[in-house]
Amino acid sequence: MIRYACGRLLSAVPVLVAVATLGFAIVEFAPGDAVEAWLGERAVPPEVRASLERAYGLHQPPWQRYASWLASLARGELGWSFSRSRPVREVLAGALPATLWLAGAAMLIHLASGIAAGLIGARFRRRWPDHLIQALVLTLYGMPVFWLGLMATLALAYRIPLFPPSSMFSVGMREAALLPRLADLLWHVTLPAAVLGLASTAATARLLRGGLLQVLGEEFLRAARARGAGPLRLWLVHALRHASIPVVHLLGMSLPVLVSGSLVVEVVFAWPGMGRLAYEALLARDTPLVLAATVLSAILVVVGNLLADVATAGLDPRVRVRRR
Amino acid sequence: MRAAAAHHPSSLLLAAACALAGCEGRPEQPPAGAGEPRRGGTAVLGTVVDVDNWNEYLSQQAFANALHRRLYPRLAREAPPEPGQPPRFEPELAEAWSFSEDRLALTFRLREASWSDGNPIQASDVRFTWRAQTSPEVGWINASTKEHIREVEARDPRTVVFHFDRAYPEQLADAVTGGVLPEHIFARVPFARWRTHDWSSVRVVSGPFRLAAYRPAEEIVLERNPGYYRAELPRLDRVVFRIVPDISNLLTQLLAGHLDYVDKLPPWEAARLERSGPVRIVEFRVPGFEYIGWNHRREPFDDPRVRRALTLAIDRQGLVDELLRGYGTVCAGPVPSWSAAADPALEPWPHDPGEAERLLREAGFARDSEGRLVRGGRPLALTLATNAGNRLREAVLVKVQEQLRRLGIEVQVASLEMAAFRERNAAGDFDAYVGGWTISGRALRQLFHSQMLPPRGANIVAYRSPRADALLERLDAAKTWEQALPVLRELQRCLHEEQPYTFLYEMPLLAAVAARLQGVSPGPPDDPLAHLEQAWIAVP
Amino acid sequence: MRDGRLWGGAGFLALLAGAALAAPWLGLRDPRAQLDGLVLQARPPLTRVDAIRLRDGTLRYADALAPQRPGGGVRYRRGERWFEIPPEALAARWHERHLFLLGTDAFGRDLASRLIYGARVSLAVGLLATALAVLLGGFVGLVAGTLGGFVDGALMRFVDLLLAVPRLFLLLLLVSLYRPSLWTTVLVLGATGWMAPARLVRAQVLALRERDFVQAARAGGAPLARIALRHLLPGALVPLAAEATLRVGHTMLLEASLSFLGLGVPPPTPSWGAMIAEGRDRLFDAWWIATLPGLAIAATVVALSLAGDALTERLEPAAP
Repeated sequence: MIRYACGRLLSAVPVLVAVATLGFAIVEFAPGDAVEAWLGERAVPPEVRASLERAYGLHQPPWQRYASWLASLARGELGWSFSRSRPVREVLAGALPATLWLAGAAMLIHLASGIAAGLIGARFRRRWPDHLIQALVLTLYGMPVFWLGLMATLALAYRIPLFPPSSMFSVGMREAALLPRLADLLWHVTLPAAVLGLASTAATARLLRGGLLQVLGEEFLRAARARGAGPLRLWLVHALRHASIPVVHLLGMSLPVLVSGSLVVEVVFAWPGMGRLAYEALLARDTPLVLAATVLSAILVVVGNLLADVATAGLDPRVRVRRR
Repeated sequence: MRAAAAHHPSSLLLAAACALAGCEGRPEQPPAGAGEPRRGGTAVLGTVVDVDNWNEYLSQQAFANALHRRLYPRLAREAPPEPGQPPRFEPELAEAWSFSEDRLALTFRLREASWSDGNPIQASDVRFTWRAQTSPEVGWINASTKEHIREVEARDPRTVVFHFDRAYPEQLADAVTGGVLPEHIFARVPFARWRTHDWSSVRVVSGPFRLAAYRPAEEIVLERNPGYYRAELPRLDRVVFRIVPDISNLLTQLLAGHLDYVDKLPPWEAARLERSGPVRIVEFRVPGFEYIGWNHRREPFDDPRVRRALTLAIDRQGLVDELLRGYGTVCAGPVPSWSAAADPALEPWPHDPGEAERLLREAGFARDSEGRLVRGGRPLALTLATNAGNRLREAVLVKVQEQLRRLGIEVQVASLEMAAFRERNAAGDFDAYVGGWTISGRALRQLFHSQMLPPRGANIVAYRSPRADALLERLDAAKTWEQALPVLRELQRCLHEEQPYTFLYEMPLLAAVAARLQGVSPGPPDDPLAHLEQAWIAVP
Repeated sequence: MRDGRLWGGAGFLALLAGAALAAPWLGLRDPRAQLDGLVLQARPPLTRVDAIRLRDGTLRYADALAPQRPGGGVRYRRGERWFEIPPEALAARWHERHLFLLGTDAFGRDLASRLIYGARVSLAVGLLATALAVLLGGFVGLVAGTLGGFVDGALMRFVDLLLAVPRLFLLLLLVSLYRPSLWTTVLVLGATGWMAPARLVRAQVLALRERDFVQAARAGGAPLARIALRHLLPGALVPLAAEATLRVGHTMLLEASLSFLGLGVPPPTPSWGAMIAEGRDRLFDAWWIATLPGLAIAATVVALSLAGDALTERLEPAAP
């Protein structure tokens, strides 16, 4: 299994290099450069421009910059972020935890709501709870995520101020003791994570409902029932386990979406994560940061796919049998 | 973020501007029972932008500069101006200064003060700072303020002499621009490597505050510098900036009591907050204006009559009433209407579509069967652009589009992201755009002289007028403010008649302040956060 | 029930498309016209406003009217200022009350007509971009599946590559290259959406290729192109059509995201996403501006999903 995973990861390296090349080319072709973007509306004499270009190596031709970026990447260095005035590595290290918290919480909410909706749907198939849940989940899917975020802010942070409208911590809570700090973080992450997680419940709920309905008719479940397994055990252990295979696969595939596709949610809730970082880097024409963020998200895609496959193999007895 | 043309604080125009009108905003009434200033407490401020660099000389941002000035004071700073007076400077790190007989040497006497690590602040620090300011490797964007300073001489540890190559009105202002840096810290990194060094870990300061913590895109924490030379200040123990890139979101936090101060409010938000109560709105006058730049390289915008007609067709008072909610005034030219340098005889062009049509017909346009204005078979059509993300300007686009449409001019609008917007403008590849400048003395030359087309200067619209050129040359040669004033007035009349831009309006910086934060009053016009030193938290 | 979903969804879509197409003849106000930037700025749904009809047919909206003196003109208030219209400029029956069913936006434009005209843009972008993606993806999938071997490998690696970059990010990169317009949006959404249809078609083609009738045709020496078009494509069309229906909604959501980030169809063309973005500034004092277009998007996407699902189930009766 480990050899298989390593092989998959190694074979992804050319894809990653290609992604980096594509990203570089697109930023290069985009109008304006890092200096223009940084200067904003300021007018400066040509000497200042020239000195800025020299300082960031922008006076070199693109292919040379690309080659030196690849070379430094091979040495394990990610370069210097023009727009943040810090090493790219540090910038990413700052944004990644925020993203993982948000994505993790969103994933949990997504999973919980998806399983609940799927179970209810399958249990009350074609009766009113099924229809109600399906309608609800579908409506959530139909809403633009950023709009859902705005509405959540309007309702739950402004009209009824239950949750903070933005940011990751309250003032001063960064330095607080572990438990209050964690509580503060959870309080802040709830609204954006709920928006991000619930908006994509539909796919999971639908897959799970379909899977459960299929499994319920199968032989082994009837056997388990015959052995006297209680309804709870029957549903939660036997049926769910078998029906969750495609769901786990879907979750693995959606990991990168949750991590980097949360851009609009991060914009709405001022969450200092990867999506916003990549977006701002792109606007700033901050090539090293854009490349690092693109490659990182591509790595997540690869890892997500791999995890999906591995988890599927772990859950599905048929796959295991085949391997033995 | 407001625009800034060759940002050059406290120079000629400002000097003139502040002399008569005064730069204070609407005076602030302390609420009853606010009591005496007291020490201690944390103020929480909101900002939509993060600091671009913690080294003043590598930064271009107004917000970052406002923070740098809390960490590294200058030798002297412009005092809040008094009506009818030339600009005055009050001591900061220097306790006194004097000019030589020929005004070519300016000698500062440093006060006895020390850096927060205990080292004394010395003349050699001032000299080192000047070397950094003028180093081409550093590339400070305001390096032009130092172009007439030949040498900075550390005569003894507490005496420093600036040698100029000529005498002119803003010598003192130029000499003191920029905070003094501690040489023993900043000289550890050679200038060539400054731009790729992370400056957020420097803790040695001389100002009222020092940086306690910096979490990019999230939070900036300043804490009181106990070694600050004014022992009674600052009053606040800590100042926290919350970085939230959306202003409405910040205001929600302000209303919920999580924030004490948010500035750069859009006017509609200020109007809403003023109605809703618990916070007060403070206005800071800003020497700047918003405008539509017409590309003089392209027909028909090369014709002053057409430009004037376009100005007449746009209801600028309507923009002020409907978009600015009254927080601004229609302007007649680049000089702030409230400044002593403004020509009081000059009125902005009125909103007069009839006269606009007459001028356009005079310029050769006629109406076709569909009601469009046509000349030589070509309808009058244009693309009006601005930088994406500036909601106010995007709203101006939509309003102007509709107003010109009513006159029979087809307008496409485009919000371009900043890098693309700048590149198109610099290349002259546009019809018209909505922009803004924060201006000061030499900016006028940068904006309107025919030799200042990009990339040399900021004459983006390619305005070429012998009359304006001559006036700008005379303005440059003026040795004193009295000599400059009549030329400046003549220049304003010239710009009014030739309308290189459609001057739209001038607008104050609007800040919302929570009741518990007291002592927030506008200071020098180039330093919107100067009040942090004085501000205090009122006991509820 | 199944039919209920199909007809419900399709019915709503037909109604919406009909209204969008017939918009110019529905007697709506001009969606671009800023009727009055002061009086009609951000008015809530069901607002009624005094209006004064002038002799030349134009209207003046008023916050308040002063009592008319006999034979005199009309004094009315806009914002904080009073204006007067002389009696000779007034129409005979000058006083009107105007209803704004869904209110107005921050520029004083009628939201109801913007919503209906906005449907044109949102539907057009959704349909055109999806059509482009499906055509492009179908072609790539067909070629890859039919030819197999090196071509298949290369094309599928390219698909992997594009799928490895988050779509919104790819969109932003591409949009930044061009000036925003309706066609830019369509092209960019199409150009980044063809990968999934390509995979789908390829999988179908690969499955079909092994079928007897295809094998027979190959053995008979039929040219590849002919096999692809005659035998492989028709089999892939049905799942592709169902997929396309579902994708239209997804594409509309993406268009809204782009518009929200300020990179969509430029103003004054009303698009639902741009309307939400415009309403965001006024979310706390004029919630309806951002809320209504969001509801419109949600309703449309739900209708599309219902119709698409029902369609899929009809075509694949085995599904639960």
